[in-house]
Amino acid sequence: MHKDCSKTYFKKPEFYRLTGESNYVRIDAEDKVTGHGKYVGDIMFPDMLTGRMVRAPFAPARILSIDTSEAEKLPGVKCILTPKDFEWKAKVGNGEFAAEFADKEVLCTEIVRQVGDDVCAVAAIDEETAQRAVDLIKVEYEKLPGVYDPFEAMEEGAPEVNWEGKGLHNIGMQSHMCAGTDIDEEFGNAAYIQHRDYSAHRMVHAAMEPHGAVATYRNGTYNIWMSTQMCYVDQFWYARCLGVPENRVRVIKPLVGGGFGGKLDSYSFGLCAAKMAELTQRPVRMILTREEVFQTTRNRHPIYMHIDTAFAKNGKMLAKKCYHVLDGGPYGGSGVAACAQATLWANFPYKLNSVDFLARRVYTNNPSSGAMRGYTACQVHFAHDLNMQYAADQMGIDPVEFRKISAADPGYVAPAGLHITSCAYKETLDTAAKEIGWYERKGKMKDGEGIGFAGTGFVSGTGFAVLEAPNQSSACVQVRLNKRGMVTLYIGSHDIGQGSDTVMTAIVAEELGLPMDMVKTFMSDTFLTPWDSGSYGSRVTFLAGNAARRAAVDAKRQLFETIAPIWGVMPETLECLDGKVISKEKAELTMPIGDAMFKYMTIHGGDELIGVGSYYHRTDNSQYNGENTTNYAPAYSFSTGAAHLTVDKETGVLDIDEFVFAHDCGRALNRRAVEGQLEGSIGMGLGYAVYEHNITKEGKILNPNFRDYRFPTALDMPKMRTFYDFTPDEEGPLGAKEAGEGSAAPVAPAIANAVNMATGVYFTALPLDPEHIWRAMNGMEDDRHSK
Amino acid sequence: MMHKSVISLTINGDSVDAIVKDNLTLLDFLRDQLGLTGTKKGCEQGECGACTVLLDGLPVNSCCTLAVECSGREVVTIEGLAREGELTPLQRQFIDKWALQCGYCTPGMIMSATALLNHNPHPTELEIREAIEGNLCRCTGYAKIVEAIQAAAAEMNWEEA
Amino acid sequence: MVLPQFEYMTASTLEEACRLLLEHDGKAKVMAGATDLIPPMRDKVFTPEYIIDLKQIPGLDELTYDEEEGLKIGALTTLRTLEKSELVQAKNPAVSYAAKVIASTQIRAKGTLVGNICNSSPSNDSAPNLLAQGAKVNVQGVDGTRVIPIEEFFLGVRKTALKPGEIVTSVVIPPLKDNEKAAYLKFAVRKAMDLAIIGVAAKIKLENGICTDAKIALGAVAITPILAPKAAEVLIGKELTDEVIEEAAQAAMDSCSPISDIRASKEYRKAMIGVYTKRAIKQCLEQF
Repeated sequence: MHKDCSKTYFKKPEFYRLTGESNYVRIDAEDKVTGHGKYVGDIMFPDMLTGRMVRAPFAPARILSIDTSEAEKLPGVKCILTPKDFEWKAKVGNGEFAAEFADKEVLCTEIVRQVGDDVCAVAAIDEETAQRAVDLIKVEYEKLPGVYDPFEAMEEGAPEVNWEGKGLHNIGMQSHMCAGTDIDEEFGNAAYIQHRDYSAHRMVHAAMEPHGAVATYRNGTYNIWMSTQMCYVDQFWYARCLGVPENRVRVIKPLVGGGFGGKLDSYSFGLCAAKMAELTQRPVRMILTREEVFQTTRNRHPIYMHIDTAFAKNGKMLAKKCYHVLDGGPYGGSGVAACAQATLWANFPYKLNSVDFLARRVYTNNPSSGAMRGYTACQVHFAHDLNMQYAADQMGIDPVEFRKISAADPGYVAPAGLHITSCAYKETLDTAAKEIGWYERKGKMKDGEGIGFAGTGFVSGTGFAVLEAPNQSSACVQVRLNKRGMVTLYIGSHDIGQGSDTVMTAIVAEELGLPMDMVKTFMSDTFLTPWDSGSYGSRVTFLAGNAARRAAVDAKRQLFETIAPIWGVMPETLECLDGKVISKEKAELTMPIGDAMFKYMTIHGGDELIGVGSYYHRTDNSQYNGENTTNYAPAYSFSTGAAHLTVDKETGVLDIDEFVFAHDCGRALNRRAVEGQLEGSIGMGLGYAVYEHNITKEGKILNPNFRDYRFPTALDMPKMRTFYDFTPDEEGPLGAKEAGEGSAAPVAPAIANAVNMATGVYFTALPLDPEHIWRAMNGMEDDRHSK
Repeated sequence: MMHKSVISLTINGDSVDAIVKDNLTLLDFLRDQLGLTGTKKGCEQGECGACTVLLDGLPVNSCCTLAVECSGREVVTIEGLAREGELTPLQRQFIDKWALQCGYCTPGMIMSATALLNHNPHPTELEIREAIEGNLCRCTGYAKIVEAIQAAAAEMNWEEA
Repeated sequence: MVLPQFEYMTASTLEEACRLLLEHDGKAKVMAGATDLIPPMRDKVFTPEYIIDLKQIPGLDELTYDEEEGLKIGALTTLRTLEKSELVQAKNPAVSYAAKVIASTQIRAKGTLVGNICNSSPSNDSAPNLLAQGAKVNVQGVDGTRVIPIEEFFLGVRKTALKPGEIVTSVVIPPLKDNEKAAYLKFAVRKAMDLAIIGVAAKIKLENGICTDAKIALGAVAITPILAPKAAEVLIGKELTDEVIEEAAQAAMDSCSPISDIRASKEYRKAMIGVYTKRAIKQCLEQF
């Protein structure tokens, strides 16, 4: 059933029984509270080996020699991989559509480009032996000059990091979004113009589960259990790098202990586990240490942002120019679309006549940057919302009113080609202002007290980059009904903790009018379940949710077309409700769904019923081809965060009294699930704003542990209240839009704006840790941390 | 030469005798030697709490505990809570309140909360937050976890009354 | 990561523990709660060949209070016991508080105050109170026992005055008289699971509104926790007005020379010593 399918059989809201108000429970919850659920590190085989990586202690450097002889002699060592084992030199990238951008060797053949870069791998009978073998492998390096600042890296003559000499020096990716009216004219006619600079720092996902893989090799097939957000994409890269067709690579996602974008890359450790499973004919388990997760997976891009903005006399934003420089580290991977997105977010959530946005992702020898919750939206919205607040203050307009003057509306089409559908941005502003007590407190706050707002917008459902070819960006779902009316649901989407498996199950149960325990769900296994490109871009609920609904409706239609003639009615007058097929017109016509299925199979020669659904965002890829306008997503979400806090002026410590979050996610499919996403967004956003900072020196992370990389504990969280009852989205599955990614964006700027009000200092950089605030209040430079 | 010891201890109510390497942590002993993988490995530095178990009734980080030092002592893991298929009030409330997302911190979180309610059946919200201060959760912002612990406490007090 | 190899030993008497420690001098570590032992071993900060577990030795987990001698804290008394003890809360709340702000619930269930000071980290939360309150450290060696005044105990990062074969058996904190109050304040970024950026302990004696004795101790601003006698001198003999307290805070700042590291810069540490010295003194005064 394709995207433009008839909605004739879609269930009408008056027949919804499950989604929305009912507190159905997560399908994986009991497994998780009993400890029975299996994450990758919990998968055990009797003859399993333990794998470990040999990693570069510094970078960049040239590998002069690798001596594995001592390690080979160690009893219990079963396999050692060196760069020669991947001699066909296929590199790892991210999107299948962007295979030509693959720029990461599985094991570095000549140059290591970042601290912790992959050099060799070991498999041994146990962890202790593997560790000792790693210590015995001698790699001789010649240190090379590195570059750790993106601005220095762009200069001619700076060391070349991973640059193939195309385009500007050390720039791996560039996006330029330029659209609308004549921008010089807009700036020329403006009543107020400002030029501001901002920067956002390096952060890490810090999912509680470390990355890992378990691999076996049986009957010519690699089976890889992977802590991943995209097993089908892993399958693509694994096949390429292992030099086999995809039909020999099965990637299975077990329970995943959090992703946040950090598990969106195909990492070398998993490939090495697979290769060593083949060479040893034994299962290999490779789980990263926490330090490896920090240093060698991915970080949130540090971004340096310059913004020029033009406003009319009444405060209406007319035009905006910006220049964003992203520190990419040496590899592209999941950072491949960061430039395009970093320009996209600068549009939101306001109406503009004219835009001129330029973003460059620069290769450096810092840790690699990649996707992380919001995919540059947290950085960009931090800068652009502080920019709004500054303008409001300069123009003397109330900050809530000021944002509303330019706020996006339903139906708005942006110069950049974005088609806004449902949009409750103004309502989120009003809700947040009311609930934080803005109008009562305004003008009456004591010294050191402040309230800050931030408004943001985000995509709801996108492709793997936005493509014309559905097979690269769609979500696919299949539904099978048996003669008892029990459903087997096959979904490709990836639940990494957010609860999407439960939501897919609920959507199918809703459409088929069944209790959830009549729907048995199988997920994220490249040999078993249908294609889905992964958990990113806030696409799961919207795309996979719509696909699940379509699959269920496809099954329902076939069932109705079988039953309706028996009853002598039209199929579209039937509905599935409370375990029965019913007629919406004749109350006496009802049949248990199991009986209906039995009839279906009888009539169709014993066939079980299969429903198929898919969904993708139909647009074009023009923004990747140098054009300016594209509608990135089928819908957009909008948020306002509001913080009320006091600053201890002697120490710079924040006491956040309350955080109010209003999020336009369309119709909530499960209230607790949405609240959990919003509360978790506040937690991670607070960490970003105040607590968390990957401090690096020559590319080495100096705080790769939870002692010094401090994310908030239960004692550090403020009181939170969330509001999310806004207009359902017409295209969203049962009215829903995204609720867990864009929601991370307004937290840091809301806190920063509140700190600005409390201190009278306009901060322009994150994080706002106590010393940063204290220094600014005392007029001191903050040069503690290198870039 | 690898040093080993024989230990006898109680795990989830059962007597266990084992030969362990002296440098084996209680965490690795539970997971790799006994297959009790409900106890999670998050940092191995005593900084995340995912490996929390009860040692003689108190919550400890099993990654910072040697297996050999537990001889003669009583260990309870997440697998030891539900008895005869019946979940504890805490487990049920964690399900009901959506107090988990990825679930990786959940076993440790429930063990810390179990210890709290065993020692303090009427905790304040602050006491609940203090009891789980050593259990990092990256998904939830802790709000639903605190709510679930409050609900379990209320339920247990109601049952006793 | 698997821990480096070692041989685990238990001692059933103090004498045996001391003998084992002396026999393997330089290669052995004493273990109580293990929470300050296992993480650095995993990072290979130290790799002892022997670990001597004290937990089988009877009597080391004492926690007693005597009006004459004061509060006695055994080598195996956990931080959790200190934190939860109503006795400690009543007789010396600063000590209870200092125990409570260390690491996490799980760490405190195993970790001990004696282990915390023997690890001799500059930022350890136990030391400032002990320094400000003039604690004594009871030590057992193969040749008998001795008492080390706390101000002589810390020699450097991970270095103490313990000699080969010596084990701390307990710490004794003199009783606080009715006209004496003490406080400890920890300054860290997180409310739990964090190391002190700085810590300040104060003990103040007041007679007829005049401060007749005072001690100020500082954590995380030198290679060991230190006393700031110049700050105390400012207070003694005076009524503790805001101006006097401010002057003492300045003296405390002047008496330390912290370093910059990933947690904080030296300027910030110094400034926070000023703020927290002031607050610690005020917290003492509030208790009168």
